[in-house]
Amino acid sequence: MGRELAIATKGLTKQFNRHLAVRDVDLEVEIGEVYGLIGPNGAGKTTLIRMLAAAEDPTLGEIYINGNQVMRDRRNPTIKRHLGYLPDDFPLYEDLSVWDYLDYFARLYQLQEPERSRRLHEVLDLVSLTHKRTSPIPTLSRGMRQRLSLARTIIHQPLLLLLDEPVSGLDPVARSQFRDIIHALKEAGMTILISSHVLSDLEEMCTSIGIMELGYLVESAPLAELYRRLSRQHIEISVITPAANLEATLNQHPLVDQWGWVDELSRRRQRPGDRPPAADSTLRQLRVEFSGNAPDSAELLRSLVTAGVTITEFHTVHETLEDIFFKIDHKQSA
Amino acid sequence: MLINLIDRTIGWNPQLLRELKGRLKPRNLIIAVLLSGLFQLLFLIITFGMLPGSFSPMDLRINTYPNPSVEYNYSATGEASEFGYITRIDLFQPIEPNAAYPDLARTVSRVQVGDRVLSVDGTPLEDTMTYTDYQKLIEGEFAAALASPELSDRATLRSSVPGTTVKLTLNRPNVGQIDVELPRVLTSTVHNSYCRRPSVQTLPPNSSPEYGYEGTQPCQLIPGTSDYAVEWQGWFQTTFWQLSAWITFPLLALGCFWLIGDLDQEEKRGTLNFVRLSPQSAWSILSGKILGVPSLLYLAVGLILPAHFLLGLSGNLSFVRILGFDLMLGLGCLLFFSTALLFGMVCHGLGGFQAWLGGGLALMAQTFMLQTRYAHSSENTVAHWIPLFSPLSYWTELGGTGADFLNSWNWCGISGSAGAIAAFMALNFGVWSAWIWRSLRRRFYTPNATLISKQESYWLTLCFQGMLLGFVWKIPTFAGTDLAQQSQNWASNNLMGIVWLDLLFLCLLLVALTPQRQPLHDWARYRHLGLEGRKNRSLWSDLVWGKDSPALVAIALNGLILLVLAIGWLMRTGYDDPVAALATLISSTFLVLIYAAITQLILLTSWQRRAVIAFGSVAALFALPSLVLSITGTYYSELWLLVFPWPMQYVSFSLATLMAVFAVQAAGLGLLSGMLAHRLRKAGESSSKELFEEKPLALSSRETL
Repeated sequence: MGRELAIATKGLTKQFNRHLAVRDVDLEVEIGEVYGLIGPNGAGKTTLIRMLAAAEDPTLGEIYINGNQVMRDRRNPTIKRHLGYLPDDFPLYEDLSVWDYLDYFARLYQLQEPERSRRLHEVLDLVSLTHKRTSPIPTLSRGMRQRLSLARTIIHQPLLLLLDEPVSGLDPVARSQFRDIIHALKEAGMTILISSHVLSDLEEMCTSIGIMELGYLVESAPLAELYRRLSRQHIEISVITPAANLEATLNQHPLVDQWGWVDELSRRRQRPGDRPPAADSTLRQLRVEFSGNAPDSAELLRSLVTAGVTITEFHTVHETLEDIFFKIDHKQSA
Repeated sequence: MLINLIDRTIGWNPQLLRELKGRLKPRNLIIAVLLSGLFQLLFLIITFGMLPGSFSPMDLRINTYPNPSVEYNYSATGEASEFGYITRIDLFQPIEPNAAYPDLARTVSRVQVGDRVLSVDGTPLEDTMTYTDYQKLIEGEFAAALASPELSDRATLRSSVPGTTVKLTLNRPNVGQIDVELPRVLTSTVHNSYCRRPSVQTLPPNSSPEYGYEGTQPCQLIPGTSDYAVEWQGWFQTTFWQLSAWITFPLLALGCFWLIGDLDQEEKRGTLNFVRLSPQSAWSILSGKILGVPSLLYLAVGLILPAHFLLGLSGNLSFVRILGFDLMLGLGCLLFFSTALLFGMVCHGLGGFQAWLGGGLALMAQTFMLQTRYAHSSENTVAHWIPLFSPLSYWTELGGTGADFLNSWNWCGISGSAGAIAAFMALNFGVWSAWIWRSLRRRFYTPNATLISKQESYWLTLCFQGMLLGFVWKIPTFAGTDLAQQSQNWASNNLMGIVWLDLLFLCLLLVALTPQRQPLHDWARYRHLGLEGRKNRSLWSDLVWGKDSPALVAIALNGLILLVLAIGWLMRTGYDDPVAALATLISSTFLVLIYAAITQLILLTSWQRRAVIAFGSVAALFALPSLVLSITGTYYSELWLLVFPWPMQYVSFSLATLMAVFAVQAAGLGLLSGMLAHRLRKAGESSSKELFEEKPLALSSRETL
């Protein structure tokens, strides 16, 4: 049985003047995924999202949303009913109150009473703006405006949510609130495509990641697969020295690729004039490049303890999404 | 509460509800109601001020009935001599038309134009006298009372003057000296167009058909009262018409202004895109805008409507006729406001100036449409179409003052009764609103699309020319002498009308069909791929039917349709100078094609504000050469032929000259088309090169992963 796709594009290309903003993109996002789109500025993320939202016509290529092709120059009402799009500048009507604004969009998406009022209360509760329901929009803070825009985007319970830089300019508290909302929406079964420069947030929220460069989609895979392929792991161990058998145990272990003292590593990075680390410290840390899995790590720990090494700390560390992103030899578009 | 009521009644249109919620705030409502009330108050004060006012004895004046105007007889050298000649006879009605003046009708023929007054009540007229001296003689024993500033002295005149007479000794040509007795009448110095017009009296031979001054007459009192008798029906009708104009002009101009401004705001904020992304239809959103954005204006006008109906009904206009006007006004609003929305979608990036421009254009268009009524001939012409775009023509043309229009109007053999023209007017508004809405729909869903497709443009051209030629399809029956010349003049004048309107239409078509830079680039580069919406077909087929292809060929075909239909009409009229007519039509089509090529070339550049530059260039190309030729006074030069179509109609040129002119125009067009083709080819090639050059680079970055 084939995968059910919320988004499928074939050869999607967008050209502005002589500049190809999006080039031949074949994107597939499964239903229920939270897909993070990352890439440097000018990589084509916003253009891609705008085309997926039917806000921009592609120059070439086809777009399928939940299996339905987006047709050019057509109304596409069914597809639009299933889409929610939040652009990075989230414009709002300044002459309306919070409730009237959401009510307007609920009506645009043909929600009928009593469902409409129920849904309005629901989304206001979700974005924590219930207490502001009668407030005029100009009185809201930036974070509130962003949450209101998100509420507008989800008012009609879209199957697919397209969020372009939704947390840009938000303080840590507002970002945390935003992450919670995305988790709630994910639990509700929405497929979410989100572009952001805050990779730690994406790492926390996303199930899949796509990386764009110079208009190309250069990587698109589930987050776990991305870690498996591109993220190396290492083990950080703190020991009390002297540890006579430590070196031998590590050198003989088949899954240890290489190891080194962290303070030695840092000594190597020392610049002239810096204070050297203490050579006679009794507690020292080492870093082991290890290619085994969790049981193998346990086995290494056991063998070290058996060899008489006094261990105060032992934990496995994965490379982050940010490490992976920087590891890829990306090129900023001109 | 108001919003809840609105919610219940118009909840079907979310856009309308949103506009009303944003606008019907208590402060705005109060301002709209106050302004509407204030306007009505001022309007009533001004229109009541046009009535004669109350009677004062100071208004009294003594005349005779009939009242001869005496002047000097002028010699052949222009020198005045011999005072007392009657040049004009007025029938100033007495201020109190009651039993005090019996049998006035019998006195009207006692004096004649051409008589010379020799004496008044025995006092001979002298050649040194003036009209004032003569008037003093007429006033006789009442002159002192009339000159008195005391109201009580003057008031006595009302009882003493009636029944007295003045004896004039006249010298009548071919008759000799005769004595006539004319009754003195008291008249009013108050002249007013709303004073009740007396029943028509039999006029003496050669007397003036006017009652007093142009369009007015001394007012009369209601018998037994001190109030002037007012022609209330006329006042109500005029006031009603003025109020109609006061409703129509601001409604259309301000409505257009607000709609264009609102659309500009939405585009600036980027909110219109959200609305576009909703599943609502273009009709739902844009009709909501048309009904909602000017809602305060509608409210203000709505508050005037009771007074409007009251005035109309009091003016003896039927309820159905008034309702008919409101229907026309509604349809006019639909056409103007739809056009305003389209204008707002096309014309952006002028920093808000487009709202002023659109509102101003709406005002000017209304004025122009109403002015064209004065250009009407007594035969049917193409100009009979223009007033039908203004709702006010419902009163000006179909009402009492438009008799010529009604008599001469004809469309495809249907002659002009008020009902038929009103139906045509409604149809006219409907047809053009429908075309505008087709463009609105296209543009709403695809903001960078052309306003109409090429297929639609051919139908639109047929519709336009069909409607236009319908007005001159019936060849009028001429009366009098030189029938052939009259017929030729009629055909020639209408041909110029057709050429001008076709030229205007083709220029609008140029705007509607010319694709923007990006779609044209995309077309040039990817046409060969046969994409969705761009069927893979031959180049010519694509130029005639295709989406986003250059508009030049389509405009030429539309020009050809106009040309063929116009030639058909010319053949029907039996026009005696077909070469000149054909030359005029072909020349104007060539000119538009040259404009189209220039426009397309400018739109292909990456200049900022290229649309404005294109418009300015074409406008300059149209106006400047004509201006220069006019200033230099070169009226009959062949140069005209290159830049302006009209002189061929009026000035004869040899066939060789015409061929040379067409050769120059065709060469110019060929050159511009060649440049356009070259630019498009280059645009297409450069993209392929860019793709070939950059793809390996990008692939290498993928391989490194």
